[in-house]
Amino acid sequence: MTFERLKTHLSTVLLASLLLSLLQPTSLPAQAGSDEDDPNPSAKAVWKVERSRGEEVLEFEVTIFQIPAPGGNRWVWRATASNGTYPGGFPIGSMLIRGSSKPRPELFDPLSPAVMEMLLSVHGAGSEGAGLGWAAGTPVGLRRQISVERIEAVDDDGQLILTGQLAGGQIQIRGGARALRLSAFKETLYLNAGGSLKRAEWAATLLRGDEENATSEERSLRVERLEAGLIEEEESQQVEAAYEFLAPVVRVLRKGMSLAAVEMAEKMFQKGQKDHKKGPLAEVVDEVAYLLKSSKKIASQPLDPDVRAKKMMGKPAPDFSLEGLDGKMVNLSDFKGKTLMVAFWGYS
Amino acid sequence: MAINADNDGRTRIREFVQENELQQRMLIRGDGVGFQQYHLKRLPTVYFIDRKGNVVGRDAGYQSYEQLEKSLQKALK
Repeated sequence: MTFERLKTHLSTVLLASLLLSLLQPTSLPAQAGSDEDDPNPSAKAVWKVERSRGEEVLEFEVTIFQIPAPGGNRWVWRATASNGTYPGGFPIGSMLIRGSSKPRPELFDPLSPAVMEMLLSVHGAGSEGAGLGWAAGTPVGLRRQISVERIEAVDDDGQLILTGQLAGGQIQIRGGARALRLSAFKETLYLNAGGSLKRAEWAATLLRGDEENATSEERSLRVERLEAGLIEEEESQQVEAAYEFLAPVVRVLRKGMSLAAVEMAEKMFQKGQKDHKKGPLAEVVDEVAYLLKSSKKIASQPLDPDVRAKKMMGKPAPDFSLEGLDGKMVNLSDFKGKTLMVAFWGYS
Repeated sequence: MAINADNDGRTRIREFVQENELQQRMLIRGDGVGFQQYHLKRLPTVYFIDRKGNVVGRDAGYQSYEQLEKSLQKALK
């Protein structure tokens, strides 16, 4: 498929089909929208994600379920980092996709921005056509449309490879005292013969102030589809039911950590947790149970950190283990017998 | 020692250390430790821990050099 044809393909194929292309393992139907095709099938996809900013690298897997929702469909996802934690702090996220309007995040995404941006921009490409690019720069965390010049190539397996480069030199992202320029931007998209996205990579180099060479920041996002497929109606219904059950609990937990809020969430949770202990979102149910427990512990303490800190005086300092700038782990207990000044600091 | 409690990237932290010519041991990703174990409200906050490992002082917010030295003297007693 040539790029021009892909463009036409993308603009004519309905949004739902594009989502399908993100989810579906096999190629898109040649003629989308024929009577037999369900435009909103229940599906599941697993993506591997690697995000880096400077020396910081975050790797995780995200499982996305597409299930029916009023007026369209809903993406429900969970993400797990290699160390077993969930990036972003909440074990489940979702967004509502209705027709050609902008997807609406419902449960704020736990993926910490990049992947949400990736999902949205892949999604946005469907409604905007392929003009400005699938990525438009947002997957690397830039809130800015970036014009790219695109080169297309087809490999031996019929895979379409789209390479986009920054059109014309540098772009000023931010002016003023903390000026920021984008000096290089590259996106590489791998689509199978049917136009379904298999793998994507974005990389950007940012220059701060008036520096000539990038010393400060390189950003990249790589995503790869590990598996994808349609799911049975039964599984879809289980995801839907578990989501309906979990969403209000997570919403309350997100809103506030007051003891009353946590207890309200706990009440809602206890009512139905048994029904969802098994099934596709069972792990999320466990994680929410744990989240409730730890939130309650924190919420039971006095609200003001200064008041809580007073209780620490004269008592043994809580031990911790943190990574040093040199990569070595440091424990507080390593310094036993010495007087210590421990300074917590931050930029903001 | 100094602990970054703001989840800044290593690159930014390194810039900060270089710009300010800091000599302390610098630890990263300390937001969990800082906010959950050490009850931070403002940054920076300095804790003073005596030889026995007990918390003996806490200065929250920016402090003058004199104030920090005073707190340290107290901790050294």
